[in-house]
Amino acid sequence: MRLKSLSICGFRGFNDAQTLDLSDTMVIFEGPNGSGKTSIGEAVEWLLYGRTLKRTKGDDLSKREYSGCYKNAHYIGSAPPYVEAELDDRAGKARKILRELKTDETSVLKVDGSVVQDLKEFGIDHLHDRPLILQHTLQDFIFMKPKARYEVLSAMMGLEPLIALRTAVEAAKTEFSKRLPQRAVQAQSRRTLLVADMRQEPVLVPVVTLIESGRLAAAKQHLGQVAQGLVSPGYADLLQALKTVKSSKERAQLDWGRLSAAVISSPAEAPVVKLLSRLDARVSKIREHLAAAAAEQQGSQREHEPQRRQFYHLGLRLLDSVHPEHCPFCAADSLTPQRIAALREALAETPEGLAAIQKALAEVRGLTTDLVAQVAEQKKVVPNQPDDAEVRKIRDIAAGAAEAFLESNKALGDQLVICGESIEVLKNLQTAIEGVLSSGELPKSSDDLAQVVGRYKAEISVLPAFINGYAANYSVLDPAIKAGLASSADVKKVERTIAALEQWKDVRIAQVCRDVERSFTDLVGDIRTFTERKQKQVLATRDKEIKNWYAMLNPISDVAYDGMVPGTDNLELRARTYAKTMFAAPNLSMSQLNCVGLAIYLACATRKGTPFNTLLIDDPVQSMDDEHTEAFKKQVIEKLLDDGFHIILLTHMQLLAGDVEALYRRRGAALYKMSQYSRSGPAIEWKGPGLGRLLEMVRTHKDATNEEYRKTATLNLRMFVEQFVKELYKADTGNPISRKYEGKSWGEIRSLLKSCKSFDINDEAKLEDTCNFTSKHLHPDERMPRSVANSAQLNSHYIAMSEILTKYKPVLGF
Amino acid sequence: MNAEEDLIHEMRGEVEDKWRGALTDAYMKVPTAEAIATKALEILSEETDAIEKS
Repeated sequence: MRLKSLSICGFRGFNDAQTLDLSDTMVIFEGPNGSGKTSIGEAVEWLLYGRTLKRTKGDDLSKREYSGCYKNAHYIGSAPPYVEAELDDRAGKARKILRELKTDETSVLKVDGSVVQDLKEFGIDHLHDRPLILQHTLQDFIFMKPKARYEVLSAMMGLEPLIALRTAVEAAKTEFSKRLPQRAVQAQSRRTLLVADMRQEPVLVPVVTLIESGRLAAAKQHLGQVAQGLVSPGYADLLQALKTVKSSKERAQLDWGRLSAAVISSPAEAPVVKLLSRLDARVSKIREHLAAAAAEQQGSQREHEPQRRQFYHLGLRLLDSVHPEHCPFCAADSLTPQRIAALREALAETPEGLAAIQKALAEVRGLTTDLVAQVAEQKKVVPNQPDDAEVRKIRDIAAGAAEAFLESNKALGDQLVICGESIEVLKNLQTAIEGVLSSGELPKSSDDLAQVVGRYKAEISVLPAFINGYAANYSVLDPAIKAGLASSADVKKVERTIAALEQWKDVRIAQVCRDVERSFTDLVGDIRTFTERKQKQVLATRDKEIKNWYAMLNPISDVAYDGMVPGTDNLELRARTYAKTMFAAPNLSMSQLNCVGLAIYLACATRKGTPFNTLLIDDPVQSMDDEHTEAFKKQVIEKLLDDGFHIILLTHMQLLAGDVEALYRRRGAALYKMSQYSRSGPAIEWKGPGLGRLLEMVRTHKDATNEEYRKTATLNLRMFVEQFVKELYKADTGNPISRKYEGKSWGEIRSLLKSCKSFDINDEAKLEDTCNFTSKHLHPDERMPRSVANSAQLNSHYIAMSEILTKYKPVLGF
Repeated sequence: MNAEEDLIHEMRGEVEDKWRGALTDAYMKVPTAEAIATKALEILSEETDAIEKS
């Protein structure tokens, strides 16, 4: 992209519309501070990027202060402020770019009259990849953070797409996770739980390891092998076979140990039997106490109170002769509540009788204690018996072998029921007798305590035999049950295997998600690596160029810039002094840092593949000493021109501007003076020739209807011819023009052409023809037009001179 | 193909992994996070459907 003209209206320092002719090989704008030079640079910057670095940095400091600063303070035009450029694109095609400023400080961009969003078709995208070298930004790069420096330099080197790519991929990873479908989220969650559960199963741990390493095919194969090992051969459906196994294992789950019994080798020695003798003792004691008192009282009263004795007999409806066993005064063994009640009544009248009753009562109560102890002992030896579900499982596991055990279990259970019932009877009877002895209340029960105890003893005495039978059968059955038992661990193993097979789709979907996320991470790493490698490649040549530019500006220096050291995402600038390496930013002087900045920007702006042919340089040597300035004038600019760059130089230094114009006049440098800044904008005046500029002015004015413009075109044609002769002489011979030719016209200076070896003598007639044409229309002394040439005449001479200029451009150094 | 596309193309040439290759398809010219994420989600959806149907 090469700029040919720039029109600015209402933007920054420009109020009224002005068009700057930039067609010459080098255009110099010289003017004091505040004359509007920087506005030209900013106009180009804003046109290309829609913003300026100065404003971008300013907004960071204070949006309020910088707000509205694009628009000229005096601009009152109804149309929006704008910057427009005529240019040749990369293919050499003439194009127009226009940017209009909107009130909200955004802008409308048009290319050839059509609204566009960006200038990517011109290769223009990133603010830091720019054709602008502005004095106030020279050190920006140096005083950036290394990471920002890395990104900016990458952009300046054309590696910005890779940085953008990396940023986009990183952001895409987050975006991907946020937008993950519900099914995938569910799969991830299930996978996490499944893997955690599988990890509890040693046989499945290798499967987990394979899953976590992303080797799902191998994991599935291993899982299949585990599953096959859990089922019998010959299944049609592995999953169904596993479910059948699981069901079978669940049925074979039994707490067999809970049902075991201590084997009682000898019933006589068993505590439960031993305690039975205590019951007998209690009964004997009760009988003894009551019988002794009754016998004593009977002996005394039988003689003295026969009627009373008879009363007892009648009251109880008992007769000695008929029912001696119920007679309280008989030495009978019977201990029914009724008889005890009669005895109590008979004995209660004497102190001795009362004492006997109390003793009997104590024994009855002791009977309760003995019963409790008896039951406790019984519980100790009676095993836990299987419930109905356990009985079913025992049959499931041991089949027919379980019947003997189950029969002994049933027999034991039945005996326990019998014992339990006897205990209840005994307890009730004990309670009744206790009540009789305490209060004399006659209970309904007519059981004999001695008989009940005897029955209870008989039932309990055989209990150990039942327990032993149970235990013996338990021992016999034990191996068969243990062989068929399934532990909860067995069931869990099958259950986990089934879960893994059933949820394998979740594992696969979750793995796809993980693959994507890992790919994002890997891709970012790849881009980093690739960028770093490319950057090193670019730097290998670019840093050499930077050093060359720096050396050009610093021919002799003991302290010098030493190059860049790129890292993964940063970039260090190094300096060197007497073989000692150090960081550049803190150790070089401001002037040296300006040179480093200038060298970096020059290297980047002139990089191979840059979309820009125009380079705008704003006061680059402002803070440099004379040596650096001379190097800039004589070497840097010449190198840029040699490399085919079109230069726009902005400077406040009159001497520099004059020297540069003089140095490069023969190569088409044109000098403009900016002065008398007013509210309407900068006053820009053309001060020095440029052959291209002269012909461009002819082209611009030759077809004008306004005669004044055509007069100007005529004058420019004449100036072109005379300037051409002088420039050709200097370029061809390498000699300066002698002072005697200063101010001389065609007639005097045409002799110079004879010394030009490259000059085709046939062209002299063309030059003379144009001179003669212009003489007819110019005042002889003042060279002012005296008659007005028409457009056709002007056009034919314009074409002739354009051909001359084209023909001799190689000699002139264009 | 301009210089920027050349770079991306070259970068993509080094990426052989299936997923990363698929992701790089999304940004041959305009690298936006949304475009890449959308591409990734499309492929995820296709693979999920295939797994569900298998």
